[in-house]
Amino acid sequence: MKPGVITLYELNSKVKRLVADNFAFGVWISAEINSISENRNGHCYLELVQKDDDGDRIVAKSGATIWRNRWLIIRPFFESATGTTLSRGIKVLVKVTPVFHEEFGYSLNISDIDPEYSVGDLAFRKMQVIRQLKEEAVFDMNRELVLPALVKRIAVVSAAGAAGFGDFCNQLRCNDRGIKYKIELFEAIMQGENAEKSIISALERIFERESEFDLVAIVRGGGAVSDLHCFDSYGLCCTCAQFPLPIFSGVGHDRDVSVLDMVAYGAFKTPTAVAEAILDIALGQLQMIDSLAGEICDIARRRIVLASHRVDVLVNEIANGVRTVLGNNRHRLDMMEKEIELLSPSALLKRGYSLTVKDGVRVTASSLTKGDRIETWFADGKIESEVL
Amino acid sequence: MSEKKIVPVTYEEAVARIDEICREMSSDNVQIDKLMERVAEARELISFCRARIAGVEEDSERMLADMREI
Repeated sequence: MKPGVITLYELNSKVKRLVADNFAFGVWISAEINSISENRNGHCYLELVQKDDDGDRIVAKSGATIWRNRWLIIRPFFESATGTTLSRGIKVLVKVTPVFHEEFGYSLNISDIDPEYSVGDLAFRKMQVIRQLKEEAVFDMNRELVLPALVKRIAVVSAAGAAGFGDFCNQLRCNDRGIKYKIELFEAIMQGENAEKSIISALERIFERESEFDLVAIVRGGGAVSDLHCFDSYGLCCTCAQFPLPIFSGVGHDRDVSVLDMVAYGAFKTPTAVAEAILDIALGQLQMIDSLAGEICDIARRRIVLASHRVDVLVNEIANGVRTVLGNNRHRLDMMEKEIELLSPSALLKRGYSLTVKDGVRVTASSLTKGDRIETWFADGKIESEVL
Repeated sequence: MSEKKIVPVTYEEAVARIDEICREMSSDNVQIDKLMERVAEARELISFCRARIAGVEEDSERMLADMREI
């Protein structure tokens, strides 16, 4: 071997020592998680990257490890401080010790994390998404939709077996007013890296059948802390904001309001609360109908009272009319009776006068001549005589 | 004698007949026999009419009472 030639192992050992000597106490760095996974032994493996200012191109990349004993501490610490899991896309401030292994090369051992940095970054990114949605004038679009008076056909975006979806259905179906809902599930992954794409695809399927639904409920059960960045993502929130049906969100953010909550027509803490809100719409309508029905009854009652008064008046008018007609007729009969009595000779005869007739007709003295046969009528009979 | 004596069916017919009798009795050449007959007929008709009025009055009172009850 030439003098000065060393083996690869010797070289790598030197580099290893060099690295170890220079970073004995670790160093705080900022980076973005490009991938993260936990292996069978409980160690966590990450790929950290740094992108250029536009966020397009990776300018630095390095593998990193959080050994099991640290991972058991760092993970709950981060989750309780941020309300989210360590996942792809999150920017982190971590204390690393660069190591160089003769066989496996360069990597970083992560020993600590500052969650505040990630919180700030997430908040910043959220603000950016909000600003962009507002600049594009889509931020208020869903909230400005008009909710139909009757919300009965619900398209639900949720994971099929999720407890949240079950709660939602139970709450809606077991209402004491017997309101029936048509609930159709559009399955989607509700957390993690693929959630955004999955939820958007579910929304696209609903969009194709838009006329069959009154409202979209995006629900997710609470439970363990998980990666809910999708609900702050531009793509999902932009789709939701522009969705032609009103969206109710109930994705169980414990900590703060997601951008989805901001653009959705209605935002609620839990799927159960979403169901309650949907029920309230119908209950409000029922209340309105009840009060209208009461009003109609009142008006009808008043009308009936008025009408019955009018009938009373009419009945009295009829009674008066009948009385008048009958009275008039009685009067007329009285008059006729008097006239008949006046024309009847019997009254005169009773008073002692007599009546002389010839051939059955009244006569006067001058119309008679000698020999005429006449009848004289008295009250009690008649006699016949001859004119002398 | 009894050629014109029609049994009245309605109140109006009866009243018209009474009127007719009054007119007939007012004329000078009325037969006295007929006259007495007409008086009797008129009395009968008048009492028929009074009965009709009483009947109508009773019926109408009952109907009006029903109307008020509704």
